[in-house]
Amino acid sequence: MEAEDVLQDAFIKIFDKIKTYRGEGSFEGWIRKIVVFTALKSNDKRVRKFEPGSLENVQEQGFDAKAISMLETANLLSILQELPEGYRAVFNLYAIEGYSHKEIGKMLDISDVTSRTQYSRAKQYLIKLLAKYGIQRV
Amino acid sequence: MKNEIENIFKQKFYSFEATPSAGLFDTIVAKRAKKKRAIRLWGAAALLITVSTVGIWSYSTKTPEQLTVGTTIDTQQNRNTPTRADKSQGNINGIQETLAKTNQQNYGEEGIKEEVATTKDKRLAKLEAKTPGRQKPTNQKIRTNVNPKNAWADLFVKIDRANPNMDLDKGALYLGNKKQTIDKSTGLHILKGSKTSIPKTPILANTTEDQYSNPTLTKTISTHTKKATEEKSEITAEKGEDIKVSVPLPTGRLVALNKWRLQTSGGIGYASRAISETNKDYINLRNSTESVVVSYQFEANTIYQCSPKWNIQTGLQYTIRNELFEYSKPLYVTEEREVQRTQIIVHPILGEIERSYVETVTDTTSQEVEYTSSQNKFERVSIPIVMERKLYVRQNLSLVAKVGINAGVYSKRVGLLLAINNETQEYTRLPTRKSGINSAMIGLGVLYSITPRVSLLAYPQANLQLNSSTTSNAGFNQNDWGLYSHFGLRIGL
Repeated sequence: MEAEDVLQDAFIKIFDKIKTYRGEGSFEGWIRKIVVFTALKSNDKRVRKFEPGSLENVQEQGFDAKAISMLETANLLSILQELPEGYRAVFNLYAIEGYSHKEIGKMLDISDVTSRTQYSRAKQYLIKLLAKYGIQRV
Repeated sequence: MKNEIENIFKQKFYSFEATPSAGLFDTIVAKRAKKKRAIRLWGAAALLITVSTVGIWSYSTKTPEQLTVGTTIDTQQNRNTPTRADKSQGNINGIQETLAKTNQQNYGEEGIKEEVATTKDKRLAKLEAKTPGRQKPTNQKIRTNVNPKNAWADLFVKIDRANPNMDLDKGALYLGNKKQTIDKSTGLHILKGSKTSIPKTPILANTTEDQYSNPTLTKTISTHTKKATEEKSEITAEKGEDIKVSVPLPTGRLVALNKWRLQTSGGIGYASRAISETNKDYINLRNSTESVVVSYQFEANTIYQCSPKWNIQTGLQYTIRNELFEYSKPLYVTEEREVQRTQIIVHPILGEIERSYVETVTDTTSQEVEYTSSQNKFERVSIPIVMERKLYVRQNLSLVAKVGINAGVYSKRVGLLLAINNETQEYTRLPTRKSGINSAMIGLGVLYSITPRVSLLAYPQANLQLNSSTTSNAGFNQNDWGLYSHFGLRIGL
């Protein structure tokens, strides 16, 4: 329901602002941006924790990529939902939507270093979650 | 390897599609319409607030004039020569004392010497100023930051309180040489002064008490005399004779009104609708099936008098547009019958050949007519936002004009119509708007003041719906219009 609320708000915005679309860039990209911004704005209402820090403490851990790819998208989605708010936002924007850390920093009003740190921690957290669902580390 | 997790998630979610719930798009459309309506309503409210603020601001922040007030009323102490009128000066002095007291309260110790508060005082003062041996009035220029017009209006009230027999119709207020007109229907608002010289004292040689409605006061101050000192006086008295100057005594009372009025009105009207549709046959069919029946409109408004001429009104308007729907649909009956026919064929060799055959013919006849009728009723509640201006005022009559908009808040349609497929359809099935049907309004009316507080009004007004009462799904636009006669009452608070 929460996603639908965001979708509703985003589409109302799209219809309201469609006159402002000047045909520059892809239409899909324009819509995507509005949806993402609306989702972020709705997330703003909740507490999103960002822990600024260096990358030194973050160590990349291995995982069984094959096992992950065998999971259904719906399962992955539910695993993603278990991520803390701040981690999930950065992970979605970077890994799924394909924004750069610099862009994410601007969107979330954090530094790009914080974005990187959050992303790395999000991945570690995700791997732990995957382990919980039986996907072993390599 | 490091980017593998990104790649997996990207691939997985690239083609991921989630189907939203079925009613989502309808909700989006409804929410958007609601948002638009809210914007319109807020816009109307903002416009009203802006207009009222500007109106109030412009009325209340008029630059205080540099008031030049001539001392034109003598007090009893100033007189050296007693006259017969002095005996009866008590009442006038009472008023003057009140004026002086009020003046002192309003303007401090020095005060402003009283301006002539009523015509009679002015006349008396002029007359006395001409009398030799008396102290001539001095002109004092006093600057004040108090809006003098309002202050003088206040003094008028004080005069009225001092003497309950004052009559606004008989009094006049002069600021400098500008006559300030009192708006009789709205009370004490002072219209912009016109450059009118102070009128000469009318002379009535033989004034009798019967001419006045207040015999007690007439007895005491109805005449003011002096000796004619010139060979040819302006007045008809001979030299040495007493000149009688009558002072028309006021009757009635001043009524102090604030800026708020309440108004209620209603009446019958002629109302119809305009259909926009490219299919002319459909329009003709609708016009031939729907006819106008008497309609009604009622209004209850609160009025804020921004200035003597302008006011803003808002409240509730209830309109019932009635219509008669009558449709006669012919019912056709078809009958089949067999007809024996003969055909002659000319053959080049065989010659003429006659051929007989049976043909089935279908006859269509109109046997009866299906008649459908309905009393259509369109009810609408809206909030009018109106500006009204007084165009012309004469005694108790005022000609007024208004223009405004009506923001629709509720509408209900009951009855039948011919739909775009020429089938009879109930209005309730037609996609129509419940609210947000805005209309423009214009009116020209007459106000008659029974008392300073109560006025009767006759106010024909026209309404034209600005947006269609049907949604785009209906396939046509329908805009109502109407001409309504309004009769009612306006009460000053």
